[in-house]
Amino acid sequence: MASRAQIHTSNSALIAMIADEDTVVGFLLAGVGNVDLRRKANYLIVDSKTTIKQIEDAFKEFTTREDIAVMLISQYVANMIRFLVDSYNRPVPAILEIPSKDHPYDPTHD
Amino acid sequence: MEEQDQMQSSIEVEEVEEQQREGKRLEEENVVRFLDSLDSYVTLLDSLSSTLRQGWLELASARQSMGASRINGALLDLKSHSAATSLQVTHHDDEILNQPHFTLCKWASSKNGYGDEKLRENKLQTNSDGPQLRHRSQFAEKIPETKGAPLIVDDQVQKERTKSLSMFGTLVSPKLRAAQLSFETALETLVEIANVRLTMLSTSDQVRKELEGTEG
Repeated sequence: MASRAQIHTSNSALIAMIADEDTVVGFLLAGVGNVDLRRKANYLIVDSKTTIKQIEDAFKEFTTREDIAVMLISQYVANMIRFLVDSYNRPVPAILEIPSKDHPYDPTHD
Repeated sequence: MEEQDQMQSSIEVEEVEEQQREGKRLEEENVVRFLDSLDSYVTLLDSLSSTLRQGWLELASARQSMGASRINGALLDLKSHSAATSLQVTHHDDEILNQPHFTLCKWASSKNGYGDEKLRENKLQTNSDGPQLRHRSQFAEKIPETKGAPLIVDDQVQKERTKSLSMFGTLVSPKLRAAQLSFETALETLVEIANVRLTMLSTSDQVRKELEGTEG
């Protein structure tokens, strides 16, 4: 008798975001925003005052959280922490580089 | 006796050639699957760029009509709340389907008993070898099978959408509503991209291993 493949489903995994304000606001309108009891959000808005360290810390936090399945990161932000992004090689959470308003998507960087 | 030996060796040669042909065919199949997934990936990214551009434009129009102070990051709700839109991640434990699969669950509220779950399977994934799982909301059984059920679900979805818009005030510009729909569409595209990317990476690994095996 053939054995059945085991299928495991995890429910309600989050989508994290590290992007510019308009992109984050847009996706929050679509309902992906989550703030836990410790007031930790699943997004980081990157602007001119955001430091590289803050972006790195957010990237490391989101990629180690078990409740996050996909992370969206604006490509120009990913370029700031390219070494960190390229050294990440796990399937979940999946890292998706997306275009931003002022920086169109460049496939050579992905 | 010699004839039997000759026949035996020719059969063995044929078997070896058949195995080589089969191996070559599998290699070519993997290359085709990789190229298909790469094509899908690029096409979806292009679609995503267009959808995001539309969303940003609508957001800018809403900001112009409502005022910049009414649509900005400072208004985002930092009180504890759950995401209304989330993902289901399915893991298969067999050798062929050893990659996860993402399914988007839009506006699935955990607070009420009639949460609507708009599940969008990746249409491109349907062409793959994976089984087609139909995911049902954990609340689906509670929805009565009456004519009113779809209306109740739509009402709940509208309530969730309105709740999401309310962080920018009670009366919002139609452009903001349009932006919300655009970003919802962008989310669906992103989930498809995530699934196609996993297929692309998996087939790329297989092709690379086959090439290394051939060279070695």
